[in-house]
Amino acid sequence: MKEAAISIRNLKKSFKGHLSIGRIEALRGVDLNVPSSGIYGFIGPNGAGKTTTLKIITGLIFPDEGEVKIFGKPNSEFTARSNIGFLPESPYFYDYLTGEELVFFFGSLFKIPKKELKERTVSLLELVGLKGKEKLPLRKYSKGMLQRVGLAQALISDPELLILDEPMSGLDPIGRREIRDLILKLKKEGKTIFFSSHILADAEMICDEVGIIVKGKIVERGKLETLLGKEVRFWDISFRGAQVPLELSQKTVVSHEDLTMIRVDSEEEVETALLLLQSNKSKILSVIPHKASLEEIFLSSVEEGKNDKQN
Amino acid sequence: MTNKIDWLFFIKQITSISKNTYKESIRSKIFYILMAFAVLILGFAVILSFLTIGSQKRIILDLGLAGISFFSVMTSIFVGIGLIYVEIEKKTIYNVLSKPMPRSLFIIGRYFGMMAVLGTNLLAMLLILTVLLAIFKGFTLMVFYAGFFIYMELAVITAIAIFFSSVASPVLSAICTLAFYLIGHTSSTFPEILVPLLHNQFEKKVAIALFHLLPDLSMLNVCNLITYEIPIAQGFTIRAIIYTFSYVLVLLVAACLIFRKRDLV
Amino acid sequence: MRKKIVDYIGIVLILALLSNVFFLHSEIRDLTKNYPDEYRSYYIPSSLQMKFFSLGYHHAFSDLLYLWFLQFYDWYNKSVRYSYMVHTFEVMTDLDPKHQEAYTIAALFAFIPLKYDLVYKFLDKGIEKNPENFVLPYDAGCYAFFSEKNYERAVKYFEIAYKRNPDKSLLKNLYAKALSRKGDLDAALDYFEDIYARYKDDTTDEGNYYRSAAMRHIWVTKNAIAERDVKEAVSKYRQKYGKNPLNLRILVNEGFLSKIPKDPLGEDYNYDSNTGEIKCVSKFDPKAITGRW
Ligand SMILES: Nc1ncnc2c1ncn2[C@@H]1O[C@H](COP(=O)(O)OP(=O)(O)O)[C@@H](O)[C@H]1O
Ligand SMILES: [Mg+2]
Repeated sequence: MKEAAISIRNLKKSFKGHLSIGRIEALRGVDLNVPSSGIYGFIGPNGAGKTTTLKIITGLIFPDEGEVKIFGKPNSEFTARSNIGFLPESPYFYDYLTGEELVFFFGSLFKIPKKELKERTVSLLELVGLKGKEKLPLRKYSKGMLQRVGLAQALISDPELLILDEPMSGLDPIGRREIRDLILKLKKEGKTIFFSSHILADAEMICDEVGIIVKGKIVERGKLETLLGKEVRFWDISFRGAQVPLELSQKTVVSHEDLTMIRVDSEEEVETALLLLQSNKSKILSVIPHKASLEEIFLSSVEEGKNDKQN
Repeated sequence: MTNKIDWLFFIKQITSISKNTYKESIRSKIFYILMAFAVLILGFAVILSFLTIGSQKRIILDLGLAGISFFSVMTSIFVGIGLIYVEIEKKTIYNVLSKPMPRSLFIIGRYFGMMAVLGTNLLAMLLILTVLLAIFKGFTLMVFYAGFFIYMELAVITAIAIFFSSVASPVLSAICTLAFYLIGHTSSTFPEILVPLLHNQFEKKVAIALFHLLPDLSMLNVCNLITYEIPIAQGFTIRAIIYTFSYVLVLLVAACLIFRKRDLV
Repeated sequence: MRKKIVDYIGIVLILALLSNVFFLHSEIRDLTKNYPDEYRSYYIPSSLQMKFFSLGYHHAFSDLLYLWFLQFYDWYNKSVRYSYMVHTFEVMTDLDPKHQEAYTIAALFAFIPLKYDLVYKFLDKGIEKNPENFVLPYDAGCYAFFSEKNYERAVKYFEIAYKRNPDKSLLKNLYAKALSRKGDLDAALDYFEDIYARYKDDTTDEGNYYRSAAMRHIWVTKNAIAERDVKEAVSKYRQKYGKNPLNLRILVNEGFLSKIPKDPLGEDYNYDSNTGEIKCVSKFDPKAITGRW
């Protein structure tokens, strides 16, 4: 088995509170294993500790406890960072540089021959879709363009592992889609992508594996398929009819004029419901089976987190 | 990957950071504003020189060098205090420090970049001064000798500024660096002014110890010798250079040590 | 549109306030114009403070004070003007003790109202602080010699100037002149003869000037020495006999004179027994100086 791209053991980190009063426990023992292939989503609500974790991984801040290994190397060694590309949360760049200069500058911090670096700068800017904008100073870039130039600089050393902090936040739907496509493209090139997000839809669509963090603790982790499960959890039946059978009125979810939707939990119930409705002369509009969604898992985790705290 | 330290690669990284720092200054407005001020001061020196009875050259030389020195120092302080802090504040540092590079190189690179900027700045002003002096028949290359020592002073001041920049906010850094500048220029008067005021033998010893320990920037100021073309003492130059380097090194090492452990939040 | 109006109002307001400030300022200045001068304060810190505050740029600050001095030395009323002047002077020369112009100009400003004590005070400091400099003692000597006519003082200063730069004939010449005015004729003669010897064969402008000047001085000084000697002898004779001698021979015989004095041309002096003084009858002749007699 290949070595894990990132392995995190029992990571703890607390910050000074407001006005240095008290301490905020941002991470309360995070364990994480990012395999060295595919896309790993690091999901959690705002303030859960995603950014804190990523900053520790990239060596920007230091944990109180615990250890981080990147491809088997402790991250306290600066050489551990030679194989990662990092895109910080809503990235800030030197706005006096042009896009081209910026990517070139970050590339020059790696062991890349100058000529190759120049070529790579051009091709990367093209890859992220900034062709024609290279000579523009960054202060004239839009948020989406900044995100893309940030991706380009993260890719400049051709790293095996990409760490992206909220790569899609603050972008419009088209921007999100472009970044998503880019991430998928990079996956195809064989890169490992570890990205954080508080938006589930992003993760659901592209992740192979996710870890869910709530209040500084991983509450759920694993392959997306296992998390979501294979079997159907419930069915929604919509029908048009003047009267809802008495047996079904308990299961009504919505009802508007003569339109009604009910939710049932098993296949037998579906059959009985359909029979009842047919005898009632109602018109069946649709029967939709539902599997578990990431959102539900997420919400239930957050609930658990809350309960945790109350206990 | 070997564990051997690749010095050449380090130098390349430092150069990259320095170049970028240089670009930053050259493309910022404050650089040109301070330059304009310095040129203004030189013009002012020329205007004042018309008021004198006697040699105009002397007034231009004295006031010109003092003005250049003062404005270079101000540039050094007010740009220097933001050198590290602003990068943290603006979060631009995240991108740089997530690269495979020891953090100390960032400080060193910023320092050298700043020194390159100050060097350019100083050279330009000295050239203007030389031209002005030549117009008033006082052309002397000693101006550049004085300039060299102004640069030495800037090296110390910038190191102080960058040290504070990596630990404190700009306002605090500015106050501390200015305090060091003032002390550096007045500590030479300790034996003459401060010590006679003290009655206690112990206090006197402390004052003398401080006098030797604090950066003595006025020692690096040879402007006063230039006016009368008094020859500089034998062996002064080399010792002054070593003195400066030692001080700069102390400050940079201290800055790196603190910065190495710092959370960049 | 509304915004623009606000802008205009703001600009007009600013201009109005500025003009108000402008006129108020000149009005207040007018009001306070007649205050006695003592109430003006142009505070200049002490030398020690200035050394501290000038942050090592002593010369630049000395220059600034010097310019200040040139502009404002006479702002104060007479009663405090000189102490103010002395203070400014002390500070600027403490900051830069080699600032020659500061000494000479300060002395000049003290000389205009003929404050000789200040003139010498200023220059004395410069002479003391600049052991190589001969311009300052020369300056002081000139004030004493030409203006105050205090030859004793002039001798003192010219001697310093001459000793600091013995090669400069101007200084030697002035030194000798001062010596002769003071009455030290023999020493003066030695120096004049030195100058003459130096320029004997020099036909440059400078040489011609100093040679001819030296010749005249030698002529005059020699006559003066003879006159002095005779006068002394006569007064001794009169003490003994109660009257002037009838001729110079008597003085030689009595031992009051070593020999009968001759003028530089070898001619006899004209002796007047009534006054007891001699007078040179020969016309000045450069040839007389060329050889010993
Ligand atoms: N520099 C800091 N000082 C104090 N508290 C901080 C700091 N950075 C983060 N925190 C706290 O740590 C927690 C986690 O923050 P963060 O990692 O940024 O969350 P996320 O990125 O998941 O939204 C939050 O409660 C936040 O308030
Ligand atoms: Mg975050």
